Amino acid sequence: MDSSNEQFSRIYDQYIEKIYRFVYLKVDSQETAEDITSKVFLKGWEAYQKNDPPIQNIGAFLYQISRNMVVDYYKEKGRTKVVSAEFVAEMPEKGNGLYEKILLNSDVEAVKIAIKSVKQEYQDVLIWHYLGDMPTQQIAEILNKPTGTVSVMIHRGLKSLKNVMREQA
Amino acid sequence: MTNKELISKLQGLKQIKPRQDWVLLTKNQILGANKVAPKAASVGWLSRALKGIASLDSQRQLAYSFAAILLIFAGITGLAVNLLPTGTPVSVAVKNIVEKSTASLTPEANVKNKVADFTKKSQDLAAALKSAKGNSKTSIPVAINAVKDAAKSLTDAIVKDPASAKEVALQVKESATLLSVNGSADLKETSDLLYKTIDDQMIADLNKTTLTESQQQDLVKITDLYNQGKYSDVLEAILLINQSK
Repeated sequence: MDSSNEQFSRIYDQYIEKIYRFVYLKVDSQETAEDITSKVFLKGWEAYQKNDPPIQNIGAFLYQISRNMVVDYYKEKGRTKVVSAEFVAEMPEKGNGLYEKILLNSDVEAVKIAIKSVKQEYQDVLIWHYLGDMPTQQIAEILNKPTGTVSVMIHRGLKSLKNVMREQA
Repeated sequence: MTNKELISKLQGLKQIKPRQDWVLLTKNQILGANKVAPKAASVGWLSRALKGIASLDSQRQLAYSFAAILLIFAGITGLAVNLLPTGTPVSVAVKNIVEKSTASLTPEANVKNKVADFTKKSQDLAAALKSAKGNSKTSIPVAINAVKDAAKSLTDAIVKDPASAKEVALQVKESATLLSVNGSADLKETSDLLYKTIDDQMIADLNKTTLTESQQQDLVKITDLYNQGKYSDVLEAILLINQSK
């Protein structure tokens, strides 16, 4: 039987990209996204070990933590991002060069900008459903809403996103 | 735009991925700090240690296994030296063996100690910078000097034991990301020297291995970066190649 360490290691591998992506789209900073994501998994690991109460759906649990941490981040920092001059050189973001792994084409970049203008709760369901491949039932568990409501939110989210992109075009 | 087109563009955001070296480091930091979970308490410490060793690549397995054997041997013979009456032929012989085995541990154990020290000092510097907002910043120069000394010491240790470069590269890269503090040119110079020392060994290792065409192209670009003096970028590039092998 696998130890909890091995089990969580698999959970980590399964969710690290999804959670990072979710957080990154919210905070739009690689450094901040890494910081928050690592805290999400640390907290997730502590809860997993403790197992009290038992976690029924670890993916939903990690997303809930992520959501809360992003909210806390904005509460603490305000909506204005402050970059300390002491951290300027050699930031993890690489705008140019060999290892710019996030070389988004213009269409995808437009979506990335547009989604930030969509209502928060629609942002979340769109990211979870289309980027996290999460079924509506799981999203409903996270939000504690009926599955039908989530379907409507997804539909409205897409419509809202389409409108924003039309305005930006 | 149809919903289908919009969803397709939305799913294009899946290109957003975290850095692989950060992913690995974070995993080690989280799971490595809590190796013994309550659920695994029934498994013996020895089998956990063996499982940990089994998950490493073969080169590290050999290195750590050898170090473990030497440590055990040194411990046993050290006890024998202390328990036997001094001056007996056996105790003298054992003492000589202990000294030799201790000496043989020095290069690898030395590098590991230096890396741990360097990592700790880098973290201390980062903490000093974070706490410096609005407060006195007198602790920062002290922290910077400590990191510089640790980096120099580590560089010297790796020069003496080049094979250790590969093992410590990832840890050094993550710790040294913090070293670029505005206004500390000599700290940057020290960190560049550390990077360069590791780069030299790892490029030599890469040249000895079989690479795919894509990796060979990457190696050419790595060489260009090296010639431009971008040693930090070189190390990150090499770590990416190693992870994709």
